[in-house]
Amino acid sequence: MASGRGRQRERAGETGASATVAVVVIALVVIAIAVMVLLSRSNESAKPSPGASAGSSAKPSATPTGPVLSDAVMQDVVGVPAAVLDAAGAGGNDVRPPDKLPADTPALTSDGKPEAFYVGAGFCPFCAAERWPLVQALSRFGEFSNLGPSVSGPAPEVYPNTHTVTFYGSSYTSPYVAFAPVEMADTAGNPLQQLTPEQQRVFDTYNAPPYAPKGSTGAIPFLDIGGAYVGAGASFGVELLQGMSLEEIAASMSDPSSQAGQAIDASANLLTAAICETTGNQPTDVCSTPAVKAAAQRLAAGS
Amino acid sequence: MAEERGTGAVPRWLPITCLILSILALAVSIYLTYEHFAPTGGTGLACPIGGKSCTTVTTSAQSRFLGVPVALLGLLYYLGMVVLNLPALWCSRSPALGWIRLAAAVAGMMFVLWLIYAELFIIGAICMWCTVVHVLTFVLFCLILWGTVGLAPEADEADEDD
Repeated sequence: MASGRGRQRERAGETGASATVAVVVIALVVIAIAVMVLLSRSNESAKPSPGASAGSSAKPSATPTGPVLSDAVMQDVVGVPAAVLDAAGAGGNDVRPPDKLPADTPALTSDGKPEAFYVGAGFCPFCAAERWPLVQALSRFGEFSNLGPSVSGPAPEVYPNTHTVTFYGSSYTSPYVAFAPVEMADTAGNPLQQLTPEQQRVFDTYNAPPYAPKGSTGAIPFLDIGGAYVGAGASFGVELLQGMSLEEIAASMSDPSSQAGQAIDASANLLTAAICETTGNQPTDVCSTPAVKAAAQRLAAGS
Repeated sequence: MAEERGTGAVPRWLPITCLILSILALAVSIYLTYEHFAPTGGTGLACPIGGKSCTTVTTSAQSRFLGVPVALLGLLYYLGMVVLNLPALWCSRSPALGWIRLAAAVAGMMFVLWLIYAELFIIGAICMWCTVVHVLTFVLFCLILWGTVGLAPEADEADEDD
């Protein structure tokens, strides 16, 4: 009897000791996680905040901080031979056309012209890819100035260092279409530009189902072409641009054997056809080419 | 006493809770594996706004362990945990099963600690769905540890009483 009570006390002691061990182990895990989070927080706060070093103003400059694109690169982008564009046509399954908005969608205009509204960011590799066909398409209707070279975010970002241009600090003039680009952050993720309330409304409304795919809701790049079409996400695979320099990407657009160049050209044809729909097919020399007509047919088919 | 608890010294709710947590973690792991292998699905062609990373975590160098995607490892791990946490196996009188379950929970927790370290100090980005799995793993670890170590002597006692 006495030895039975002793065994019970012993077992009770073992239970208590085991429970203590379990609690201590759990506490150690919690402490380890807490220490990591606190260390991570202190490292973050030790970093200088973007824009704070200027002192007088944190507002980003209206001009690019880096160099502008060379004339040779710009010429490669805007001077793609018509035959190459015709060969690219409306592209295949590897190029995604913008999505048609319902006919009763309010037109997006600026200064009496249809407006192409773009939202992207420097770190975003999909934005990096999408800027190429956008620049090529818009250059058929007008002229860019001060377009600067840029790259998407470094590794471990997906598709790191994808060469591209940046709309930040650039300007665009056209008698047919207005362009409102918003680059929300730079390559490092530091904030650059903010959406106006009206732009935010358009972004929130049309960058979500049923207008945009569920998977890219609220994501970038986002493009609204005159309230007629929206482009959510990149229109072609960013992987096609991997390992290519800025100059190589620009030159590839005139190379009918380049998969990257053909994808950019086809995407640009589709964007051009969408813009033509908002400009009443003006100018005719742009909107009546075989490449743009083929793209318009694909847009009409909705595929 | 035996009526308030399941077979042995384990409360009835413990195996059920562990099984539910394992199934939830398995579901999230399936989603993360889908995201890893489907670059054109989900946010594969776009970046989340406001963040400074696009699928950074799930496609980073740390997203693979010995060449195998961590998301896939998680999926396989939680398939195993679902099996180990079946109430029938919790009720098993084999002590080896309990220790295997605990070893798996400890291994999972250790891996989660490494992944949290990688997210905070190497990748510099937090993956929300990964965090959901981490929390589930932690809770599962606590329950299994308590159910295996904290209640072990009582289990022995119950065995003797029988």
